[in-house]
Amino acid sequence: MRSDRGSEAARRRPRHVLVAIGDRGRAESLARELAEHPALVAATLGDLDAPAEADLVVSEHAPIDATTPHVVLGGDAAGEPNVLAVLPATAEPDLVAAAALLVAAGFRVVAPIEAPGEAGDGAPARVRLSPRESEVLALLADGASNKIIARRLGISQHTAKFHVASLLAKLHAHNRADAIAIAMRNGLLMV
Amino acid sequence: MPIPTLSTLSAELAGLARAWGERVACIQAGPGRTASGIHWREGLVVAPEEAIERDDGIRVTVASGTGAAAELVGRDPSSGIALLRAPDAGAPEPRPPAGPVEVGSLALVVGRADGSLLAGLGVVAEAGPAWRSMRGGLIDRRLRLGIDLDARAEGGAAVDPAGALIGMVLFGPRRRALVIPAETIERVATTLADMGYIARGYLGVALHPLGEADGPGAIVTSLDEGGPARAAGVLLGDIVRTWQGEPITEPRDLARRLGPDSVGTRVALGCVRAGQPLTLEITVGARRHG
Repeated sequence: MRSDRGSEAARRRPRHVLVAIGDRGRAESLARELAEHPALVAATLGDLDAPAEADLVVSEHAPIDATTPHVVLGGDAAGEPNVLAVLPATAEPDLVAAAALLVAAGFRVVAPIEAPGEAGDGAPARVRLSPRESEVLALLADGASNKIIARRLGISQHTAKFHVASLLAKLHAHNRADAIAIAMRNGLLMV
Repeated sequence: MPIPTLSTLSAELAGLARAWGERVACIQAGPGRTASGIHWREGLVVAPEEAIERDDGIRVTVASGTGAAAELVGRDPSSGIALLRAPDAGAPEPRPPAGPVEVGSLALVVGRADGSLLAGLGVVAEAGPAWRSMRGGLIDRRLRLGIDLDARAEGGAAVDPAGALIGMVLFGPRRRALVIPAETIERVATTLADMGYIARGYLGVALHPLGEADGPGAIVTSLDEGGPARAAGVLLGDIVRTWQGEPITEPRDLARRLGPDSVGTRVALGCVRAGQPLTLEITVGARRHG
């Protein structure tokens, strides 16, 4: 029983993640995303309070040592024994955080996860927009807010918000700018 | 023995930061870090467009306030400007008139984080003529600062040594500090305040890029019957190869050239129809909504 309690304590201890990537802005946003999870404490190479020993490292292209478990972004380091996850170089912070949690829990992420947007544009081959969705899309292309969309189309803000959300979902878009780009590439939005 | 010039410089910078601290806001409009914004007119704050990740749940803190819900008035991704209505923001302090901006001159950037003021000192590293953004916006001057800046100061005010506003700082690729000039902010924010959005140029065509081997060009796959392209004689299946002589390979190339200032201009569209080249003159329109 003692050892069980001990391992539980070890499991509860937050895992220290060191984000060792060059782009400071990206490193900071990754560290913030990781730190959102109660089981993780994140630091970047530039932080004054970075722990001396990390339980897990997020690095670019290659691991920074041969023993600490790693989540590596980009590159071809999947063969290294301490590299437990390889993600695309452009992986979104939430994806990296998910991989870090799995690796911290002792799992290995074997198949490279494809980042959205890397395999084509992610939009299904044949998307059809309703006339209302097309109108909403045209307003989005001019940078209109939900309120302006509602006013121009004579609908409630709540309905406008609903149409925007369904449009993003249909196009597999992360945000408005993404939706416009995908729609344009797929001939759904006239220029 | 103090060095008078150094302490004078320091005191002047601190004075500038203090004065501009009254005119900058902290913007929370997404799950991540905060950004800064500039108190533009009574009740209105200018913010970096990319920082406004959502339409509602935006919070703005001005010098006099403790943070209050703000409303998105409009956004212009082509110039990186968003306009927010913040009830806490009264009439802004009057600002000194803008002077010329010379490369090599000093610039102080002032921003606001949750409970603190942010500042950075740098030089105007690049000063050039008007340029066009990747999304087709006309930016009145090319200005870049050589500066080390806190990420939360994006959207902050770049100020010259006389205390005049040079513009709003935005991060470009590799976190280069670009400045959207004060005159661009004035122009864009005025339209956003009046209209709520900025009409971009519109031809009324949907395009699909040609294959690699077929050279540059995009085929017209859909046509707005009431649009400017149809009125100028563009037909379904025409291949658009050039815009004012510059190659077009995908819809984005066209969209880039259809910034807000393209509306009403006349352009030559180089097309191929049934193997024969032809040039069509089109007057760029604006989208009709609703």
